[in-house]
Amino acid sequence: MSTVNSTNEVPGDVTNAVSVNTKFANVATASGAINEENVRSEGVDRRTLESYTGGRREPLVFVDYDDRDNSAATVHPNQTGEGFVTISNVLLDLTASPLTVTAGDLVRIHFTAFLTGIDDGQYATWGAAGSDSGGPNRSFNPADAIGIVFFPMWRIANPGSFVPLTNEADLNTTLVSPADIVINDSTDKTDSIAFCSMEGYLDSGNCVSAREVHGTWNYIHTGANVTIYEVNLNFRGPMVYEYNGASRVLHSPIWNAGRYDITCMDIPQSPTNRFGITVGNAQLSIMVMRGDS
Amino acid sequence: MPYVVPNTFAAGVAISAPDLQENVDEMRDYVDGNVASADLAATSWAKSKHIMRGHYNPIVNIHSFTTGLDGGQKAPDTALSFLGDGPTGRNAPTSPSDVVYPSTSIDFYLAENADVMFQFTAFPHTPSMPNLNFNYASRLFVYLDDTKIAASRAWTTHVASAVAQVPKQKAHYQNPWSGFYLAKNVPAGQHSITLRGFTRARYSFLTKWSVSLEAFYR
Repeated sequence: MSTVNSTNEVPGDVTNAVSVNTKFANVATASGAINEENVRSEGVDRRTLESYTGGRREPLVFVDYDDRDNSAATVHPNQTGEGFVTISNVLLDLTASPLTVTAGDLVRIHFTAFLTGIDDGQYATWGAAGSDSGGPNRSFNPADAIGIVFFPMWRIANPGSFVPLTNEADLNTTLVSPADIVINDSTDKTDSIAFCSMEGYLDSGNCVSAREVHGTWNYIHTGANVTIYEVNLNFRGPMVYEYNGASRVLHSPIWNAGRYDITCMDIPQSPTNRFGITVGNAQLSIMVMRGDS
Repeated sequence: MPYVVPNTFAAGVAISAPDLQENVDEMRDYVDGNVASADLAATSWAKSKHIMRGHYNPIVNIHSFTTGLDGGQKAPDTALSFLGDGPTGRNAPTSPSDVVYPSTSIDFYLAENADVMFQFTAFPHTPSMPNLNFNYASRLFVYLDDTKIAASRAWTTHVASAVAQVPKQKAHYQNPWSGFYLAKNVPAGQHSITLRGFTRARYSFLTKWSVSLEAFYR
């Protein structure tokens, strides 16, 4: 593959020791450099040259996927947004062969989650059904940005707990309502979340939301190596996206109090101050692509 | 280690044919599988212009590389992808038939086993129906070849037109569909990834949909 300045023997030449030695020495001392002079026209890429001893070849160095269908749907009662729930049967378990992510690597996490419904049949972001003493109808209320927050986390210590993805907001925090989770564009990002509306239609006393959301996280790693042992999928909510006068936040209110009281928006209409949430099918995947490492 | 010349020849001494042949054989053996990574220069080994450009197939909009495939399609603004309840979910059968949303397929050929990432987005529309329940919903699934990916289920229905409910209680399912499927170690050969679904309303159609494919050879 490299250039060899060969001393050729041609018909009519007298072969001597010097020329023969030179010919082999040329090969033995070839630089081995690959450059624009000796790469074939079709080109090469890193995969062509890599010393391959098994496992995944670049540029994609790792891929994993897990999912659950609707038969694995789960019901989560008494949700207020103060805590979070890990969705079962969607887990990327790398513990048998932990993945080291190095500076320059691109980490791509994708997930989907299907919000089947909630147990507040009259739910709407602008309040429950019925007339309001303060106006002709609560449908005239301005809607609040209320939804379920789906988010992945990873475990990068062994032993250790699941933690938020790099520079993502601390959505695993346990709150006592009313309280906020501050979000921003630096170290408390929400790039990885999927914010899912809970609106739907009344059916058998429940609100059928029946919508799938798709979340992605595309992150180029910097700094020291990170070893990934597990990735999971979680949700918390209902949460309210708002500005608290100082920061943008995901707010966990006291439901059915204040602006959500029965005399105002009446959320939830029934049950009184918490929600039962049903999650259906879900998917979770990770792809790591080698960068400059 | 680099190629080591077994024999050197001295001036004034006849060149030995076996020794010469041994040198050549050693060179052959070195080139034929004994070049180690360390024999290659560590710097300037390749530049971006040496990376192959791949082969582009404009018919299916797929770019083929040594390491895999990239491709997809985006529907023109005027295009619709349509399916009806006739062959799919009319009268709410227990097991409705999924059919292809036309023009949402990607046919591709893998030269060797690969991990395949498929993504899609679409704006679904399903007509107003006289009631609000799952009987008038449309659903979508990703299919790899003829294998249904049940976990990819997406769902939509529409505002009912004749229901005695205040507007706030009516369904609002104008949100777009977005999803993916990551298939590990798909065998070499011809494959297709498709959006299929059924509707229990009269029809379901997509506008402004797009599908994309990334395949990485193992």
